[in-house]
Amino acid sequence: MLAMRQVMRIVFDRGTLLLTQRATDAPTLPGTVWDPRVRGWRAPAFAWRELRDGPDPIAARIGGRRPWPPPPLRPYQASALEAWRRNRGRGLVCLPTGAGKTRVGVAAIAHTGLPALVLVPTRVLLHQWVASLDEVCPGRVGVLGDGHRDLRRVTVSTFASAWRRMDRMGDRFGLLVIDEAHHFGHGERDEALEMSVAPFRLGLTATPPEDLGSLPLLVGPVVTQLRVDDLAGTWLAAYDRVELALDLTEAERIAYEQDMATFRRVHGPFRVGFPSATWPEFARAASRTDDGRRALAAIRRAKRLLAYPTAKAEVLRSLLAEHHAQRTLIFTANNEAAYRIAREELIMPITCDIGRKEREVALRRFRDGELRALVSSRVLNEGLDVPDAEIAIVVGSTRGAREHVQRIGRVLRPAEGKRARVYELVTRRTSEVFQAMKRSQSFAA
Amino acid sequence: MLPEGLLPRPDDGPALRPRYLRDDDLPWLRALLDVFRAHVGRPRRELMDRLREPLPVEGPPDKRKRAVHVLERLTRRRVKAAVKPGEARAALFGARAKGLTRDEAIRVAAEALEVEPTGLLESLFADLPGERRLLALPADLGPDQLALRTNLAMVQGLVARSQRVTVRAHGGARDLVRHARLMGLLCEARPLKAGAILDLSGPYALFRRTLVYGRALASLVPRLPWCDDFELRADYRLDDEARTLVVQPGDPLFPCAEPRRFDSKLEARFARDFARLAPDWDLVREPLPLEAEGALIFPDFELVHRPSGERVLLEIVGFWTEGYLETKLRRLRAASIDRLVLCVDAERACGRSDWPAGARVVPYRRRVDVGEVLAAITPRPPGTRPCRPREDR
Repeated sequence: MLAMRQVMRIVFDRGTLLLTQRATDAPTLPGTVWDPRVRGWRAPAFAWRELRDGPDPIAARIGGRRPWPPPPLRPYQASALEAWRRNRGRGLVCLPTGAGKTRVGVAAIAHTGLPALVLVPTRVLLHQWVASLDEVCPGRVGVLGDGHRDLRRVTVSTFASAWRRMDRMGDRFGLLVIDEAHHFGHGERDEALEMSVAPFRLGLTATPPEDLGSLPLLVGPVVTQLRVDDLAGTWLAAYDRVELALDLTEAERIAYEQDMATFRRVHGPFRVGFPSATWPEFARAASRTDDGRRALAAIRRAKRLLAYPTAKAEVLRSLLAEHHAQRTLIFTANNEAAYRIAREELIMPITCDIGRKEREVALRRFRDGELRALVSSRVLNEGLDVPDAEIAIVVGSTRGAREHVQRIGRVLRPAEGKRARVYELVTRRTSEVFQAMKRSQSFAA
Repeated sequence: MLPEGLLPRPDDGPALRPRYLRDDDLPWLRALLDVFRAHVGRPRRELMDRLREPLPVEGPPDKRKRAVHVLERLTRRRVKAAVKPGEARAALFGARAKGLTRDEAIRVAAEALEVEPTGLLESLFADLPGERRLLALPADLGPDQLALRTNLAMVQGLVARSQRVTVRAHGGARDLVRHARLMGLLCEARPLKAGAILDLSGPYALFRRTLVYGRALASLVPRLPWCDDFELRADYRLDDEARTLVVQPGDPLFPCAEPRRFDSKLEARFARDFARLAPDWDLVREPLPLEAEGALIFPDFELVHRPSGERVLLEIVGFWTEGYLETKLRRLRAASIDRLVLCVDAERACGRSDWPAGARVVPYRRRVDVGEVLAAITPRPPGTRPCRPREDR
């Protein structure tokens, strides 16, 4: 094998590695497969670290290290970075929302001094990361996505743009920083990680999934994990959770029960027949019959009703009046409810439909006190650097405990004497009761 | 390209042939188009509400969903509002945050923006996807074209979920190969009696299917109808089930714009000049591919001398190096092709002294001179035999 390595030259080829060896050589290298199409040995790009042995064209293209002074870190951030370094620069750092994951990522880029690509899930986070890096990073920061195509030594890219281009740029970066890394491990997005040669990889998340899928292979194992309660009261603000149980009106109750009965008539027998079927599989099967289509329409109506019934509207209004002097974030189950609240209470919505510039202006005005509240269904869930807010009102939720942890983290930015409050509005005798229970259990764990 | 949820499932029809939209689907497609056109100028939300109701002529639900998806992609929208929605939001929500009541905030913001309060409220979210007004559909979009576009989107969605495809192509193989390479695909080609068999796959296909290269494979589909004859076979996976798709001539698919006839303006100009200045010769644009050292060569042109039947292959080479020309000539010699002329750009790469020995090379500067080409190909040197296409040998 040593003899073979001495003659080996590794070339990046559209998301893979081509090993220029004679065809008679044995395929002894891990992950390497004979490719009859080009009569050469081929390996996935992410295996470069294991295959390389000395200088090669890819190493030359990545270039040498040029470290720069990292930003100051809190003790737990420094520990996280150290744990990642001890694991040979691979792994997942799991810190609660508001605990400063971005800073750990920036420090990793500074410390390694390698060309780095930061992957983010949304355009909002794209520009937020660029702003964070611009403050400390020597040289201009590249942007890939949201209409930009500017590759630099340190570049921030949306997941989608990186996925489309990694087969052509996968040999340019020595470090991948993957923000909100829980989006990876189980799907097509993984292609972006597989087609990169980057030997150093840092995944950042507040909520690691139970099943990490291919994340340990493509990014690394969990090297640090802290929960909200590990930092609340010290590096995160202390908080109170208040669950408010509400009732539907009589007319709403009747409509809800009718719709749920229509839904259960189809969904119940399907569940018995196919206990492990997923929701998309049920939806596909249901859409083929009249009863099924009625069931799908009924569950849509029921969910729409639960998203913002009369009682929630009344309680929300009184909570807004009570906390008028405090910055408040309102979370809804869907955009439709967010817009209803925006229209009725005249509160600025932050959704995917609101453009980047307008969102940035709104967040600045929120920080400056010109806006007292914001309402959102999903955009505020992940990563967005929301200015100090003290009150969170969860009007509706669809994505379980992970989403809830992220939402609560939005109001935990520490400040002197601050004690945040999180209101959860739950409608009695509906599916929301079960969801709230699951959230509580998960949070306690 | 249709998303996974809209693709046909195993019980939707035979394994190899998807259920295309055909003539008997045109009545409900026409009704669907009528609904879309009736909502031009209206908010998209109203159209979506209408589409939840039955059409005057109802079609199969799965097919209808696919057609609606394609129509949605073809529909453009615009914002209609008394005041820019962003300005309306900034003014109104800012006023409310100052502690004004709802009515006071509306009045203050409306006065600041010089609009009526109702106009202000209507403008508030006029830029949301559901509130945007629909613009007219393309005038030439009829039910027949909608059927073809929907079929194409369906086939592309299936091909995108395949690891590799095999295309048997005659007349047009060259364009497919060129496009495949442009998309980063690997192309293995084998000659056929007529045309070639192309095995196309992404570099990563050795390890697993990727959607990046799946989409590249799918981009080949609208080019197929431009081949004289073809058959595409794609093994794809859907819901963890392996299936095979076959696409053949006559399948109702929407074609892309006609591929360029020539690779460059240089080639186009040469073809034009040659037709004018060499009346005894015919110029064949895409001669049959030739096999050489396990690879297929697609010569740019074949020149056929009508009186004698003599055939000469001609390649126009832009950027080149000595090694490139050596390899090219070696392959041609290996295939017993001795009647070939290489036209090489004298302004690029190396000079005349670097040309491989024995090569029949016509240098050019910006324009291939037909006279020099004719001088190079006539008369045929003694002892050489005419070049013939593969099936003639």
